[in-house]
Amino acid sequence: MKKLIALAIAGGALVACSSNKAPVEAPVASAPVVAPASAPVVSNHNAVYFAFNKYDVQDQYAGVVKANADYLAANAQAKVQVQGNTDDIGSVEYNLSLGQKRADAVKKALIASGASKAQIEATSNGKLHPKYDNNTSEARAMNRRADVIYTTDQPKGYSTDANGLPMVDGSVYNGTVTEGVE
Amino acid sequence: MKHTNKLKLIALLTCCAGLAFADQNIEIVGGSSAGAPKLTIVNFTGDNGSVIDEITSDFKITGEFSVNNVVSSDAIDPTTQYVVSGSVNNDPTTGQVQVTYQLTNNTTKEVLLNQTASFNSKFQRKAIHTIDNNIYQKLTNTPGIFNTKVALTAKQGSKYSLVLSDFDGYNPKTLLSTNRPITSLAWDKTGQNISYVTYETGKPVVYVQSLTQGSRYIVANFNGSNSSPAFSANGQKLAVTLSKDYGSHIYLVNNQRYNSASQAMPLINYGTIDTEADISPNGKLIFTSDHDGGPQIFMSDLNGSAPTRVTTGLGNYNTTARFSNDGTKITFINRNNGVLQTYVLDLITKSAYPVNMSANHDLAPSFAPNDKLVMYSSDNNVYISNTTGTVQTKLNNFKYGQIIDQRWSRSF
Repeated sequence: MKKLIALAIAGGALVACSSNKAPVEAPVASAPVVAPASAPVVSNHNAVYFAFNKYDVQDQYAGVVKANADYLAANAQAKVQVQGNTDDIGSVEYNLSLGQKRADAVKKALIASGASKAQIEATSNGKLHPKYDNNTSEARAMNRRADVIYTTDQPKGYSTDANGLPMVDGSVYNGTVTEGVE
Repeated sequence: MKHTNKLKLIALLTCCAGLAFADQNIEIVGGSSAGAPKLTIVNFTGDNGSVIDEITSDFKITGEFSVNNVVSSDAIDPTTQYVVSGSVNNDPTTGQVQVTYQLTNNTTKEVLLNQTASFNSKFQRKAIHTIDNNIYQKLTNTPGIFNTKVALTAKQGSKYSLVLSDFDGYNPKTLLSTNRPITSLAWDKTGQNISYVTYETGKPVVYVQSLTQGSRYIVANFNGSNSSPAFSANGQKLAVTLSKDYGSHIYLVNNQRYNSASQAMPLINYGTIDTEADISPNGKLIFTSDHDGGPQIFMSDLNGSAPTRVTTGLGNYNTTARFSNDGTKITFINRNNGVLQTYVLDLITKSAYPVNMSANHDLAPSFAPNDKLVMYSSDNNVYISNTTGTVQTKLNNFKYGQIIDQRWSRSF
């Protein structure tokens, strides 16, 4: 059995509640509550995390998908770019295509939940735009990610940082990470 | 006492003057030229060291000769096959330099070359490289690569840059500097145009830039990601990887400014990922596909038909294949137990072998324009190996933080 590491990265969630007002009416907009590691991912986030070498949207991110799809369905002018990312080892081009698979998966999930195809562009950064330094397996797991980035008609309270990423994703990652690289 | 000190000072100056001209930036780090023809370079009269150092390092890089220096023709090893000798005349008032050089077959004593080059001292490196090309051509009947160019993209701090330099890293010129990643370099056959991908618009988009005019235009900006360009043999089209139809697949686009009516002709739709196309002069396409699970190298006809796997029995991760300029070999990256290593595969004999014996994280290999050498980066240093992997040179002039991509030009 390879080494498995359980991750529960919930630190940002507290801040998220106050500063990231979410794509839609969020169920957790006010009271800062420490999310236990097993908590379901709440709906006011813009990031979907993926397991090692996996490209399917896991059930725990259904809330992320639904919240963004609902907003897009209700706001026909709104547009998003879904940016896929990978960890850092290997061919630049092949990783770009792996990140694309993640972005494509989120795009398909958003469409299946009611957004229209024309509102979503799926692109990939591959390993070239890591949000976290790839120096631990936890950080690499956090880089196996797709971000839902609003380019037109942003939801109220939505903001991005200097790198164009949603300011606070606050996502809870509670999957298991296999040691390794993609 | 004073006298002794003075002597010491003179010794020190002499020592430093010698050091200043030795090219510390080109370091033979591995392998051996034992058994290769012996090439002896005799100190040029009137040379401060800079001329013979340049000649010596150029010929060491080739790996084709066992190169040694001697101070005078009296010291030539009788077993040496070839001798380079000559003289340098400097005119400090005008800056003009005249180099006369001879290449002699030491066995027959036949003078193979006896030429004079005149140039301004500020062009000395280029002039000596031209002399080396002449000597190399005479010795091997193959064009030398000593005046060729390399394109490189790198991240330094938060800045990304696209740099063009001499093959050994000298004379770098920054062609583009931006806060967004630049990658996916490709050269056309003329050496006058390069293609690359940048994220300047917020997503990967393919550009073509003229090196003679400095102008550039977008050739692929389709919905989704646009990446991994390769010029067709005549430069009129480019193979690119597009994600407009889900997944990553290879298409052919015209080499002209993209507009909303631009078309992309599907070439390869073989796996869920098809990327890293390269086009040979003899009408073949190689690409990386996950058709068999992990990434492997496949070769097809130029229209995408009849894809066959090239990397077999080489583990489960092979990427980034580039053709030799004659289309008979590829160089690529193999991953095994986390080690990314540069390989050369002979498409005729099907034999594959590593060319970097101390690999850890290699990336972006490409052939020299004369196909005798392979350049790649390894842990952010740039190396050249001969195609059999017996001689390896580290090029310390390439200091660019994190190297993302690099390509040797295809022209001389």
